[in-house]
Amino acid sequence: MRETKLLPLINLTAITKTYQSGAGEFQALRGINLTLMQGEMVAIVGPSGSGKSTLMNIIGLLDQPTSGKYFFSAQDVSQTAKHDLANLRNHKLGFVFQTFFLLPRLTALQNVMMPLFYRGESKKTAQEKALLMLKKVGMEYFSQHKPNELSGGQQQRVAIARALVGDPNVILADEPTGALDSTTGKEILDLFTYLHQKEQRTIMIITHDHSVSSRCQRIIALKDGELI
Amino acid sequence: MTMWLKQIHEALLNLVHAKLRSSLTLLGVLVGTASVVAMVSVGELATHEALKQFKTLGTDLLSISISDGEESSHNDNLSLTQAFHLSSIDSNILDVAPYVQIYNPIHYNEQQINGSILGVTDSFKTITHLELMAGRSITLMDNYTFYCVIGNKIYQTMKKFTFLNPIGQQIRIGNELFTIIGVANPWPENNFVYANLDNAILVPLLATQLLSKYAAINNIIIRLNPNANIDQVKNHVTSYINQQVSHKNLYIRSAKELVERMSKQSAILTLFLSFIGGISLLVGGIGVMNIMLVSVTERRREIGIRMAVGATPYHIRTLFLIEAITLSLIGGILGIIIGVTTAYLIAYFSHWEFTLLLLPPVIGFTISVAVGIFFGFYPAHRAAKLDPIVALKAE
Repeated sequence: MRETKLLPLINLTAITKTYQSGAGEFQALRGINLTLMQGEMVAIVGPSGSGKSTLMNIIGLLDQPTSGKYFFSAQDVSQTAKHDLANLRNHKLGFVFQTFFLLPRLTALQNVMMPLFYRGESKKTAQEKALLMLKKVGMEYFSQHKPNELSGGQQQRVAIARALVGDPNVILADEPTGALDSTTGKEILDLFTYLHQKEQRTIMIITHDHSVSSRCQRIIALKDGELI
Repeated sequence: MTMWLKQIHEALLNLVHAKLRSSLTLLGVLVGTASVVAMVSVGELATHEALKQFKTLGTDLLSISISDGEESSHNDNLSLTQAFHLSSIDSNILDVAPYVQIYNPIHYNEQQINGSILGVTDSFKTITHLELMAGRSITLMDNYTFYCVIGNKIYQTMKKFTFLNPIGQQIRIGNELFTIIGVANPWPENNFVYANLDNAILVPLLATQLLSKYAAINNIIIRLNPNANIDQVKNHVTSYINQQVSHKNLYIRSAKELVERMSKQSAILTLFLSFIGGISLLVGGIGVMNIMLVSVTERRREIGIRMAVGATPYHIRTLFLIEAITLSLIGGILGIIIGVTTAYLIAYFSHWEFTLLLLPPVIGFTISVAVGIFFGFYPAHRAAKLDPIVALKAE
């Protein structure tokens, strides 16, 4: 599927992020240099407050760095307009969150269709693609269920299908097993491993769970806003 | 297209989800639209009703009332010949109908009947468009004869006392007996001609002089050329009558001016009432804005999720704008229905003719959409401006 490995997909140079708070400034990231190759499965670990969420938000184009350069597949995205960032997130990135973040009023199928809808795809194609993805994560029989009718593990599978449906270059997962029991967490992790190994997907997981990070090729550790 | 349908569908889902809140918000727009639609409709219907009475009569009419001044004597009155001579003082005067109104007791079969006596000539029937249902009308030839034509209401009263054909019967006016020679059809009431023809007995104008010593030509109706200069005719008439009889008070009214004044009044009334409706719409609109702001705050998490999967600020703005428009549109449509119904009920109880007017619903529809866009824009803009991370972290 993705033949060319070892192409830099993400390249961060001297990234800093400073928050203005009432008392003064808070430096969340202090000069991060990081390269992520295509097809890699990476874990970002670190204690809370180490800046790993900030880093993931910047990589996920949800937030912008205070200074430094961010290249996404050789394109400088450090200072891009909101509208274009939305399009980049839609086409190149897939998110998986700790608490799933499915829309409660939509069915599993409609949740998965959402990224395609914002691309302007027709309802018919979107439905076909979304069903295919639900099948891949083993949720094809639950397509008409609303999130509150599903277990945590099932909801996370639907969320993963939503992250995959747009065929993104990278999947960013923020504590994807954090809200699940260990058996279900392992199943979700197996799904990520499968996607990495069989489909050569690029995956970045934020975690403080060793059983998660040990399944990744590379572990990036953060402390006080710096890589260690 | 898919996108719009999807957005409208989601807007409806959200509104249904918060049923109570949505319906309370709807209520504001509903009341506003309903009042605007009802007020404009009622205003139009009232104007229509006011003008209806001139449909048969026409508006090219002048009505002259002559009353005694302080120094005038009862004996110095306008004669019939002098009155008819009015038609030759101005080429714009096409027809002249002088009449005398007196109030003598009326009796039929020794039963008293309420009504007034009008002394008329041929032209009175032509100018007032009075139709007869039986018999013939009063003409100049009748001179001093005691013939009469009875108005429709008088005829209805008479029917209570007799089964006989009214034509040829005798009715007593004062101390004189009059023979009925005609019966009039119902005559639409009109506030231009003071006399109520339904409740009157028409007799030859000259005959009134035998009934009462106060009988005098105190009213003249004039039919004008449609293009006549009304003020000029008024001046000619005033100076002519003042030459003929002295110290009389003249009061001249033009049907055209009366209609114009009525239209202007109802236009002002409509404007005023619509203004009140507009205020309730404004309040309704503020309600929409308020509820949309609450909705945006409550759904920050959802906005964040949508942004994360690639919704642009434009998508988010559209989502909330459509929701606001849908909300006010539903209120608007219900308001139009209630407004038209209200107008119908008002027309029904005022005995007006009801017509379904197109303009008020169109105004109501347009206004409610405009309210949705105007008051929905700011909340939608705030939603679109949200930072994805802040939105995602919201509880």
